[in-house]
Amino acid sequence: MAVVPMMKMTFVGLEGERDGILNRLSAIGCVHIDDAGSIEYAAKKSNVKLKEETNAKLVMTERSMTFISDAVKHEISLKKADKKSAVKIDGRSVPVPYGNFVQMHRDEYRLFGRVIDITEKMRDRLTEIEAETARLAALKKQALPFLDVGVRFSEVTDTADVAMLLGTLPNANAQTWENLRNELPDAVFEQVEATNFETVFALCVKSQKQEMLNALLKYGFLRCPFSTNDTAEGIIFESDRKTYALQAETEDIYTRALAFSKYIPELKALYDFYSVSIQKLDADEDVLCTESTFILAAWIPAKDKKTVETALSECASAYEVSFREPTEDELPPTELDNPRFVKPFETVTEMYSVPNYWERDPNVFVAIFYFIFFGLMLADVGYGLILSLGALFLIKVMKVEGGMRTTASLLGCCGISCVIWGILFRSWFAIELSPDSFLYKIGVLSPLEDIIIMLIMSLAFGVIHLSVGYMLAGVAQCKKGKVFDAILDNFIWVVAFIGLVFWLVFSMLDAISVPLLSNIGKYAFFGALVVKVVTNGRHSKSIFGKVFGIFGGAYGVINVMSDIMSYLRLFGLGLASAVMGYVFNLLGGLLMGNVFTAIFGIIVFIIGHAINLGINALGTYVHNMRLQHVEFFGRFYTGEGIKFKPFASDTRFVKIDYADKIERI
Amino acid sequence: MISLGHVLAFLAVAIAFFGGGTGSSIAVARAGAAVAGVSAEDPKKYGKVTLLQFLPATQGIYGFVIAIIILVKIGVLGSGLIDVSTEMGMSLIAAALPVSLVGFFSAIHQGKAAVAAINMVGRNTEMAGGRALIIVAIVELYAIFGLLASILIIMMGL
Repeated sequence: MAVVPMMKMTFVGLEGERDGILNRLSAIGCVHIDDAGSIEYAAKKSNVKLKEETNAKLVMTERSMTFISDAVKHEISLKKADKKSAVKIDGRSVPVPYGNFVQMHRDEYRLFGRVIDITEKMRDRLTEIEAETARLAALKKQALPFLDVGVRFSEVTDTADVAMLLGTLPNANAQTWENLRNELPDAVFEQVEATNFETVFALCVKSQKQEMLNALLKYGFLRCPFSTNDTAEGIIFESDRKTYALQAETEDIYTRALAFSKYIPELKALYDFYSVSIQKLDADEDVLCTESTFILAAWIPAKDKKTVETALSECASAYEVSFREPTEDELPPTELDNPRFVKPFETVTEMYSVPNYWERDPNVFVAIFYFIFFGLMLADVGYGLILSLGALFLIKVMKVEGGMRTTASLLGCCGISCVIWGILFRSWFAIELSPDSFLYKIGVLSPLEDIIIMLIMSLAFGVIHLSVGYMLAGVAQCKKGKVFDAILDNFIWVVAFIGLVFWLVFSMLDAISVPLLSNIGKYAFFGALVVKVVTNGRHSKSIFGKVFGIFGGAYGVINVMSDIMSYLRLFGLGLASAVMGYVFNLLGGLLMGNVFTAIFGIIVFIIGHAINLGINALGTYVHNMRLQHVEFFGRFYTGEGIKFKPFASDTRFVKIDYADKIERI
Repeated sequence: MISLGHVLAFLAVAIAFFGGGTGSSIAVARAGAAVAGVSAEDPKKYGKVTLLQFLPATQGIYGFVIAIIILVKIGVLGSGLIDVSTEMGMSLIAAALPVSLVGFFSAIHQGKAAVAAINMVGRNTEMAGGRALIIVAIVELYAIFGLLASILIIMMGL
C-alpha cells in the first residue's frame, strides 16, 4: 500500500554476453535501466546507426499494415469484401508469449519476403498508376478539341504551295472569327464544327504563313500538340483504353492485397519487436563498456532481487553484481503497489505528477475522497448505475485497453458512489418521489429542499479533506525530525478546524447545544489562528522579516478560508445535476398525456438525461480532480517522481506474456 | 388575462435563455473553426478534439433550464397560468440575470479556452484527453454558479 522499495543494482559482465543478458533482463520485466554515469577507461556505445536501420524497418512494417488496411477498406466500399473483414490497426489485441516475441527476428525475412516487400511494390505501382492515369487524362483533354477534325495529325503539314495550321483559340467567339477573316481575307479559317468556336483549321498560300500565324496568335492561338500518325479519336480511344486497363490493375492490386490481411497479427508483433528493439538500443546507450566488460546500473524493486539474481546467474558466466539501498540524494523510480480499490484512482494522482520515491503515496486518501466527492456531485442512482454498467461493459465486453481502461475503471468505481449518495439523497433519475414511498423513506435528505444542509455538508467535507492534507504534511515533517515545525505549520490547522466544528455544531443546532463545548471550540479556533499568524515569521532572522511573516500568515489564513469555500462546488455541481434532471423530467412529463406524444416524451426523457449525465459526469470528473490537485495536494504533496518502467516493455499492439518465459534465450 | 407581471415574467424567460444561448453559439462556432483547422491538417485528430467543441454548449442548456423553471413557476407549464404581481415579475427578471450574463461571458471565454486546447492537441497529441478537458471544463464552474444563483432566487426567494 505504498511506494515499492527499490534497490540499486550495479552489474559488471562480459561484453560478449551483453546482448543475451540485456534480453534476459527485459524478459523478467522488473529492471529499470539507469544511466551508469561515467568511469575512467569506460565509454558508452552509440547505437545511432542501428537505431536508424531498425526504425526504417519499423516504418516499412507500419506502412505495409496501413496499405493492407486501406486495401481492405477499399474492397469493403466496393462490397467485394465482408464488413467483418475490416482490419483494425490500433488497440492491443495480440497476446504473444515472450519466448516467441524475442525470436521475431527469425520471422523477419519471411514477413519481408512474403508481405512487406510485396506490399511496398504494390504501393509504388499504385503511385505510378496514379501518375500515369493523370497523364492520360491530360492527353485526352488535349486531344478532345480535335475530335471532329477527322484526319490524322501527320497529314496536317504544309504542301508545296499551301501552309496549314491546326490548333485552338481557347476564348474564341463568333466575333473572333469575323475579325480573323476580315484581317486576312486571303486565308481560309475553317471552323471544324459549327458550334465549336475553339478549334481552328487555317489555310493560306505559303508566302502569307507568318502573317496568318501572327493574326492567330493575337487571339491566343495554341498550336495542336500532336503530330503523330493518329487521329484525335484514336488518341482518345487509346487513352481511355489504357486508363481502363490501369483501373483494372488497381482493382487487381487491391484484391491481391486483401489476401495479406491474414498477416496483420504477425505484422503487429513484428512492429512491436522493432519498437522494443529500439528501446533496448536506447537502454544499451546508458551502459558503460570497456574492451571486454560492460557496466550496467539499474533500479529494481527490492522484492524482485531474487528473480534478478537467478536470471543473471543463468545467463552470465562470469560477472560481478551488487545491490544497495538508494541514498538520499538519488531519485529512484516510483512503482506503486495499491489494493484493487485504490488502483483506478492512481490516474488522478498521475495526472498531477507521479509520487516522489521519498514521499508517502497519497493514493489511498485520494481514492477515498475522490470516491466520496464524485457521488456527492452526481448523486443519482440511475446515473450511477449507467456509469458503472457502462464501464463494466467497456472493460469486460469491449476489452478496452490503455487510457480508456483506466478512465473506465475510475468512472465505474465512482458510479457506485453515485448510487450510494443517490439513495441517501432520494434521487432516482431525478424523479420526484412521494413522501410515502419506500425509496423516499430510505433516503436521508432531498437536495432541492435541504439546501442549507447541503451547503454546510460541502464545507464540512472541505474541512475534513484539508485536515487530512495538513496531517499528512505534519507527519512527513515529523519523520524528518521537525516536530516543532509540524505542529506550528500543519497540526495547528487541524486544531483550528476541530475547534470550528465544535463551535458550530454545539451552538447552532438546538438539540445538542452545549455552551461549554461550543466555547472551548470557539477559543481553540481563534487561538489556533492567532498562534498560526504570530509564529509564521519565526524563521526569519530580522525583526522586519518577522513582522512581514505575520502579514504573510494573515494572508495564509484568508487563503485557507477561500480554499474551504472552494468546496462549495460539491454543492453547486450536485444541485445543478439534480435541477437539470428535474427539468428534463418535467418536459418529458408534459408530453405524457396521450400515446402519440408519449413517444416524444420518452425521447425527451432519454436525450435530456443523456445530456445531463454527459455534462455533469464530465464536470464532476474535472472539478473533483481540481479539489484533489489544488486544495488537497497543495497542503503536502510534491510529486515529480519518475515512473518505474521496466526497460523495453512499451508496446503498441501486442501484449507480451511474460509468464511464458522460455528457459534460455 | 395577461398582466404586467406576466409580461415581465416572459421577459425573464427570454433574458434567461438569451445570454447562455447566444454566448454558447458564438463559442461553439469559434471552437468549431479550430476543430476544422486541426482536422484539415490531420483528419485522425478529429476524434480527439471534437468533444472539446461541445463544452461551451452547456451555458445554453443552463439558460434553457432556468427558462423552463420560470415557466413552471408562473404555471405556463403544468398547473395553468397563475397571477403574477409586478414585483414578482421584476424578481423573476433579477433571477434570470445571473444565468444569462454569467452564461454569456463564461461561454465566450470558455470558447477561447476550447480553441486553445484544440490547437494544443493539434500540435501535440500527447496532451489529448484528460488534461485538455480540464483546461476547458474549469471555466464551467462559474456558469454552474450562475445557474445556481438563479435557481436559488426562484426556489428559495419567490
